Amino acid sequence: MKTLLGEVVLFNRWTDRFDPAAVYQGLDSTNFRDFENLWKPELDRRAAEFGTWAEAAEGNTQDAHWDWVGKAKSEASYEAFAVECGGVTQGLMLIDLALHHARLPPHKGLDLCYIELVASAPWNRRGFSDNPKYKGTGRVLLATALSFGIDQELKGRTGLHSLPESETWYGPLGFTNCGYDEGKQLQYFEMTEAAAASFLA
Amino acid sequence: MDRRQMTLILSDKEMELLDDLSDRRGMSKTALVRQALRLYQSVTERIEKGEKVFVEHPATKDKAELMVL
Repeated sequence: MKTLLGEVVLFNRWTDRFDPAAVYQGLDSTNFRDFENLWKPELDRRAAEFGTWAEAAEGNTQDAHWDWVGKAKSEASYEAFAVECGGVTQGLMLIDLALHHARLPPHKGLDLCYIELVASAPWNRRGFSDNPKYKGTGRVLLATALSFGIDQELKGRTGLHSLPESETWYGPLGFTNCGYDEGKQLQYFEMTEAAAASFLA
Repeated sequence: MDRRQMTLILSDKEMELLDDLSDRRGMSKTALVRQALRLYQSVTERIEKGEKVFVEHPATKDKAELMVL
């Protein structure tokens, strides 16, 4: 079931104005259709310009293979979120509260909110587009994850594995780079309770 | 988020376990039960799909399969 969580604004770089947007918990056929019809063709087209997955970082398309529709439906324990603006899905996020635990002291071993997938629409990305449209989708989704985790009494503890193209984004937001995870073959980042409180302040 | 209320009847031993776990995990009993439900749901789904769930000893790497009854 799709539920409106709140109203936000995204900065429209094309008009230099803030546009009203909405954050939803749960995805519906509109979001899946936007992904299949609007996101995926753009991601596939851009990804085809690069020879390897590593090179695709330059075009901000290392997530082109992510199967949002299949993934969102694969695990009932996932919580899905969407940001919509201008009648179109501008950002998507899947989080898992069941299977991951904090790695950083002083709360090592306690449950955390794990961001399984998070992405902004391709046309909002630097590197993908010379003239990206909306700014702020990623921050809105991150704030949503932190708030949802706090609501579930996880106190803001949040973890994720980052694509190489996004690694520089997480540090300034308050995530700690916990190093390379051999299992996932990606860098693992974690936000402590204190860092989450600071981000949301 | 819509929430519904229910009454949970537990034995003394189960209640002690719930108290102890909620203390150790740093969350209320309600949040702990929610987390336990998510975990049980995830494990059940995986086993129903034919996957196996293991726990591994960090030093010896010995694995024990988790069975859901």
